[in-house]
Amino acid sequence: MRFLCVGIKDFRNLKTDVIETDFDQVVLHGRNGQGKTSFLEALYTLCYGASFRTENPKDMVCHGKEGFQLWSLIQDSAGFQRKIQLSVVGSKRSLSIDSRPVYDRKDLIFLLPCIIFSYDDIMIIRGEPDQRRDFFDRMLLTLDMEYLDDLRVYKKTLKQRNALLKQEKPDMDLFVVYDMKLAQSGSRLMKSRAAAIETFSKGFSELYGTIADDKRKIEIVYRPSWNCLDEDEIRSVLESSLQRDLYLSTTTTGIHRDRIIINDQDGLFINTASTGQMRLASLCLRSAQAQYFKTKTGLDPVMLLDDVLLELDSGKRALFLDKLNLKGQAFYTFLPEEKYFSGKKEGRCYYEVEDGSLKRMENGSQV
Amino acid sequence: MTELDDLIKHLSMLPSVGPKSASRIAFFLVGSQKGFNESLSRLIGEIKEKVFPCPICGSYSETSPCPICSDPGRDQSLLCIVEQPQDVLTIQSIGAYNGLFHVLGGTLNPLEGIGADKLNIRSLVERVEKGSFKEIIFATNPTEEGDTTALYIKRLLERKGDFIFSRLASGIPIGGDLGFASRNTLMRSLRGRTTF
Repeated sequence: MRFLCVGIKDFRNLKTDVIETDFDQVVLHGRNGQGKTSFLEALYTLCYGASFRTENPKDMVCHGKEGFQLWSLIQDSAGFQRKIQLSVVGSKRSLSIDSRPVYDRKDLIFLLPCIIFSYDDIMIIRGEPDQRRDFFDRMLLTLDMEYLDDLRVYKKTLKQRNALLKQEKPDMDLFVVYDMKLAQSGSRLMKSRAAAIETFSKGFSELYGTIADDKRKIEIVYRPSWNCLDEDEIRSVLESSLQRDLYLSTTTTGIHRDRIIINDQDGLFINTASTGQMRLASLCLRSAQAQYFKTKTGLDPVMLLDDVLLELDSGKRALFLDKLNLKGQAFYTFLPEEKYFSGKKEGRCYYEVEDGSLKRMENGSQV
Repeated sequence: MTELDDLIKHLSMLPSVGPKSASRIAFFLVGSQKGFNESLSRLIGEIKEKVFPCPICGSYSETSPCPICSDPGRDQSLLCIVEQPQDVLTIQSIGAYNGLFHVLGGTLNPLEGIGADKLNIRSLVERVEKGSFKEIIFATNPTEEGDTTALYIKRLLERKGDFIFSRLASGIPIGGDLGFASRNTLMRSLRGRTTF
């Protein structure tokens, strides 16, 4: 699975261009603010139809333009060439695969899965619980269509239930229906989360132990909001908390309140970890995500590594890349002075990114 | 604003008609044959007087009650619940259903302030209480709102009698190829598989 070439028009600060990307490793060098992350964002947006930086597609439109266009020739997991086209004009998003319109992003996200390693990933470790839930949800929905479907049903039902809670005289019969739907989809989501986190935690813990040179044993613990998996029991929980929900005008229990905690042997990891250790843990989370994806699908996702090797010393960097065991296509961004990759290597290509333009370089050391 | 702009603006308020289509229609009307525009405007002007909701089922009709509700030849034990009047036409067009209909006029949606009081649900419950229905068929759309509305009505009607409740099947189309089915359709079909 790989990007063969990528076309860009009016996307962020990137210049309109067609970029050749049919390489195992694509290395982007450039100063801050030149467009390196925007290029990775364009790739991510082509994979999932949405950005990892913003929920509003308008934010991705070049200043002064009405919309943007992205397209790419890709090679899918079966080795076939496919064409993805995405355009956003105003608030309208149009997506097509092989020139056939796609109305649901669901049909896109399994075509060319990618994993983004971003500087902000540290927030998964030390941020609010919703960021860890979001990390696992995004990971699981690229693996399991049922998870994606259940998550959509759950979120939509939750919104409707919360709207009903805010009404002056809510229809009590409707709560019963919403509770039934929340229990049904929520129960399945809880089971998937529990099973995935248990397996994932082992891989993550091993990776961190090997790379971090930190003797603490860290693990990920799943603390669901509902302490039961049976749908009838969940409905009873929702029913018994209805008065409190009505008082607070929000649904106070459910998988949207699940906690996913990273612990060491003494308690919460973030209480004692340094910023460097948290950053390393966030890198290990993404690496474990790639490993988990490979284990479940047998496929190598496209890896997008945005400035993430910056804070690792040379030993840890080598160990990290070794453990990452990249077999698929990878895109790296670096500052000009970072020469982690230099010299000619088969399957590797260098681009210099300046003022939104990507200029192909013969050799990384020339940058 | 010119007369033409005004016409385009009005036409673009019609469902599925964007500014480009509205403009095309407007220019067609400007160049249309003599009498066509007059005939069209008369029909549009009279439509709300001549076509109105049936007081029993809520479907659009030119008679009261509608031809379906007043047809004694139809199966009085079957009631099909749909969201919109046009859904009645769609089901009628296949010619395979001979029961009665009830049009809800939408779906429950608290986010948009649509509760049971804004839909034809009370009239449905009263009709079912008084009628001789044996089976209630839910033909609401397979959306979250459609499913929620069906479950809600089922819950209300369960208190009124011992009915058979059924829901339109969803999944792989007849003559379809599994290879061409979307992942979602295939997944829903598997989840809703039936014994064979």
